[in-house]
Amino acid sequence: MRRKKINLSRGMLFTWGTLLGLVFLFAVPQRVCNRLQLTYAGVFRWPLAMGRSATLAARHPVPTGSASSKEYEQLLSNHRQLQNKMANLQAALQDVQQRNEQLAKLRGKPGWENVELRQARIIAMPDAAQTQLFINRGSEDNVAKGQLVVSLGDRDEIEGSCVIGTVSDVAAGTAKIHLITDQGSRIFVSVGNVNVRGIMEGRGDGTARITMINREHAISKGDPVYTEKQAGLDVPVITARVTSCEVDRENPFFWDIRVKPIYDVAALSEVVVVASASRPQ
Amino acid sequence: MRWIRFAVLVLLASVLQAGLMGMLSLGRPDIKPNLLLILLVFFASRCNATDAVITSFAIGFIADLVNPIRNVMGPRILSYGLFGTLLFDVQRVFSLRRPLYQGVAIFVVGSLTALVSYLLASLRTDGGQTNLLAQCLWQPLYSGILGPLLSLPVGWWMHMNKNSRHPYGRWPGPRR
Repeated sequence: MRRKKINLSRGMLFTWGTLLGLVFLFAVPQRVCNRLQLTYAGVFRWPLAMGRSATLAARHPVPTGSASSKEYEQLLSNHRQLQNKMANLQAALQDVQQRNEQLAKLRGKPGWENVELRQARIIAMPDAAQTQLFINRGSEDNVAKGQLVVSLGDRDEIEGSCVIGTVSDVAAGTAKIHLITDQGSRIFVSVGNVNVRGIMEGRGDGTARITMINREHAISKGDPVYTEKQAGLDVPVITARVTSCEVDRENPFFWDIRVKPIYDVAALSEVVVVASASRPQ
Repeated sequence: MRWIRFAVLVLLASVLQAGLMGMLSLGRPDIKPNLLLILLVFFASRCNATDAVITSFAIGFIADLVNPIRNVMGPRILSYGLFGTLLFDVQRVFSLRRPLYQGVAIFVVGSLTALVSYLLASLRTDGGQTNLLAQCLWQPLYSGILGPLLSLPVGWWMHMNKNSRHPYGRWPGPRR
């Protein structure tokens, strides 16, 4: 029997082909397409697997020695883990180097050479008024109640490092800092001329007040306020600047001086505890 | 047209494309030659009118099976079928037997099919990431460079090299 030849025009073939494509695109369910792909992969799994292995072998370095492929995979896995650990250690090393540089800058200032310092990182901002801070150093690091806390500045000018407060409570690995603006904070300070001494009291509103300074001393707005020399810290350190100076209404022989700290609490991340300068509360 | 040889060739190309072409990738895994695209241009430029249409849609179907865009089948059937059919008309004007023209044709058809396939796949699904630059530029360029080199062995396998009476001239067109 003679085979009948099917004659289809080019246009008809194109239409059928397009319809086939549209059916696959819009009508055939996804699971049917997945089934087709799985069938193809199943039929040709052997050459496909060989090709995959060859491609992977070409991309990765060939194992040397007598290690089997399983051992080689294990070695590769260990290698990746070691690389991750090395990256973490490098980051930690950079962090320590950066801290050391900051401390070296601080120690490079006159009077700071022999001061025992404990660098600490601020770990929490406990209150909205920003009058207290927590640091990641405690009694295990010889941090004690009453020690001065100094900010670590990146700049070389005098405002780069300033006293921000004192240690108020200590735990084994953490400590709480009373900022100079905290209500109840009392620090001996000198204003402008270091011979003009007074007591700075925090007001709890981000400012502090200096009392007990006789009116015979000339105080003006913008004058620096220094903490008094302490045991282990033989240099006055700036802590604030005068914002206003008026006659004390309760005691007209003294000035009522209002000061504002020069540090920005929100920008603080690293501080230094002056470990040898413990101050009685 | 020797259809059994064609089927063997296309299946072999699909397996090589899925398995071994990764070895030839440059820089990124998706920048590799597209063997099915090379075959599409080869058959569209050497077959008669009806065979060119059939081979284009068939190669598009295999391409969708091997490497579906966003896991959707259909976009390559349509795009390969459309541009394979159009290429048959173009080769009446430009002889695609010249290696340079063949390479340019592979590049242009590859870019257009990749773009149209991407757009068609977007009609069905909007998920997944596709590197359009690699699909529309680097892969067709790579295929265009490599394609003319493969036309000789493919032509030998399909017994199509001897049909050429004017290998570097205008092809007289399909016989009726």
